[in-house]
Amino acid sequence: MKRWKTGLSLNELGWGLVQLRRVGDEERFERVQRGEWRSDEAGARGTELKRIFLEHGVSSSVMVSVTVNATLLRTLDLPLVPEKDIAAVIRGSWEELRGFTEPLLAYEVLNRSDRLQVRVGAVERSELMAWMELLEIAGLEPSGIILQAQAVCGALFSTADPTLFLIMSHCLVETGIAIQGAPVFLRTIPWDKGNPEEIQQELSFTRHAWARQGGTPPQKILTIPEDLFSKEQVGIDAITTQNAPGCLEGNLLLMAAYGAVLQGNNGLFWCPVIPAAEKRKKRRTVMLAAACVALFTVGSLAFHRAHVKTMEAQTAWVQNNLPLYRELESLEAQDERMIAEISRRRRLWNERRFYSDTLARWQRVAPTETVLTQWIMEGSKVVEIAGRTPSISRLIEALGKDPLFKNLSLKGAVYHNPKGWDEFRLGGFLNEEVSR
Amino acid sequence: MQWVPENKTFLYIVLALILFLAGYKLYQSRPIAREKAALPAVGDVTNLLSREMGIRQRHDELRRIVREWDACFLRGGPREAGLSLRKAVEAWAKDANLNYESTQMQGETGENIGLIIQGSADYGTVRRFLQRVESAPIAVSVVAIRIKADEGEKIVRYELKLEAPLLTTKGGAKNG
Repeated sequence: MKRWKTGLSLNELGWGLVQLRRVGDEERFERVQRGEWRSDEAGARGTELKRIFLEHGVSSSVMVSVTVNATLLRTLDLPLVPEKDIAAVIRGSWEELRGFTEPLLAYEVLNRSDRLQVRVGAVERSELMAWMELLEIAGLEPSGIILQAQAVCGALFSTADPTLFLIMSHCLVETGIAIQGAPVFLRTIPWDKGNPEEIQQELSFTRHAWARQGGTPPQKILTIPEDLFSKEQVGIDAITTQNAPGCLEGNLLLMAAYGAVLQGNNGLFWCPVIPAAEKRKKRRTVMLAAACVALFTVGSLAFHRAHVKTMEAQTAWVQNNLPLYRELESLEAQDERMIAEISRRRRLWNERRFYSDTLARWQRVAPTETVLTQWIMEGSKVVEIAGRTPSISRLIEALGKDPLFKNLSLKGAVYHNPKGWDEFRLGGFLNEEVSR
Repeated sequence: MQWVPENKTFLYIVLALILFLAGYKLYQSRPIAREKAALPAVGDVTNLLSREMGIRQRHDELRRIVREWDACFLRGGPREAGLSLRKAVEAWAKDANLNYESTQMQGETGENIGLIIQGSADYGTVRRFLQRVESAPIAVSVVAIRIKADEGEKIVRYELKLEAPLLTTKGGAKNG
């Protein structure tokens, strides 16, 4: 929710500015200001407004109420049509539009059940665009345009009963019926201040028009300002002014500005587009897009350039260190080969055989009287161990206790000679693990 | 058989993939890309350079170990190593006071160099010779032994086959 809300009212005599500030749930008056035009020329008026907004640092986004000579506001019942066709149906069915040279419509859908009930406003396009050009010169960005009568009704009047209102400003009378602060029927007519009969006629017309629409006869009558005519002069039942905030001083422009702030972008309002502004907006969009593309391109190029520079620096660094890198790489490769060679040499060294140890162990194990006549070995294979021993069984038993010889076995027969010796021949394998 | 499916999305995806791969290959084939590909990655260089000291220390240590191992093996090719082995065997035989009748070189073209020594000696001398060989600080082993003794005789006939691994084989690159 916006913290600041600004309403601006414009008519032929001057301008009114009301700015509200939100403090918690409450809205407080921050600025209430009004002034009269110093010039009749639209450019000078726009410049004047621009200066005021700039001087006070007021946001250029405002809700604006204006006075327009040719105005109509009605509540119409239309057949059910799609949203996009509503404007066309209104133009086709609303006969009162024929009085306009180029009507500019605004509508608000009130009800969509069996019939389509819309509140429609029509203004003369040229008049509204004149105000828009003034706002354009002032550099303001109206969030919406409403009629002065809409703003004043919104500011002063909130009862649900139909109320006849009569707003008289410079050369202009706005008369109509308002319910809950919003006009449901409105006519605007030029007015000569010296002719109260015209006012009477207009009020009478409004009553009748409202009655034709089947509306309840208005009980209250609001006239602004109330001191222009006595009720006898305009032939009305009562002159009643609702309680407006005191700071508005009962001023029509300030009340309209206040009403514009209150209405905001709700209800019925115009939002016309000035061709120049539209062109400028398009140009701004194109420029923004171009700027985005340019920014993106520049950013990408900068990023790419930084990336390329980094890559170049890295490549240069790598190239500078390449000889050392290659040398270390070569050393590591040599290391791998040396490790393999060391491993190979260790294996070869461990494959050495120790037959003297085998012989010593035989002497320890074999019975004392055993005599060897033949000892033939190839690697761990015992081709033949031959000799004589007092008892072959003792020899076999003794050899079986030594893990080195336990795989040996007798080859062929054992001869027991007459001298009492057993002549034996052994073969087999030495235990490989033990023999090394 | 339906070669083209009704839904051509798959074909479009395949086509896009082929185009993408072709483009990528084209991109990779640029001279600059080839040049970059020849260079090692920055991370690899950084990693290796940060370990320079360690690599050099490790390399020196390994070289020292290899040199130590060099002393444990016969040097040179088969002929040179064979000669070294023969000299060593002569020295060991002299130390052990072992008489031998013949020596014969074997396996001069293989991975090992061998030498067969045979003769007659008493058993104790043969054992001393074996001990001398086995305690030598070079990788030489007795891989076959044949001893025959006549009953009542102290002198035995012996035939010993010694073998030493070759670090450099014929036609092969020298290791280390």
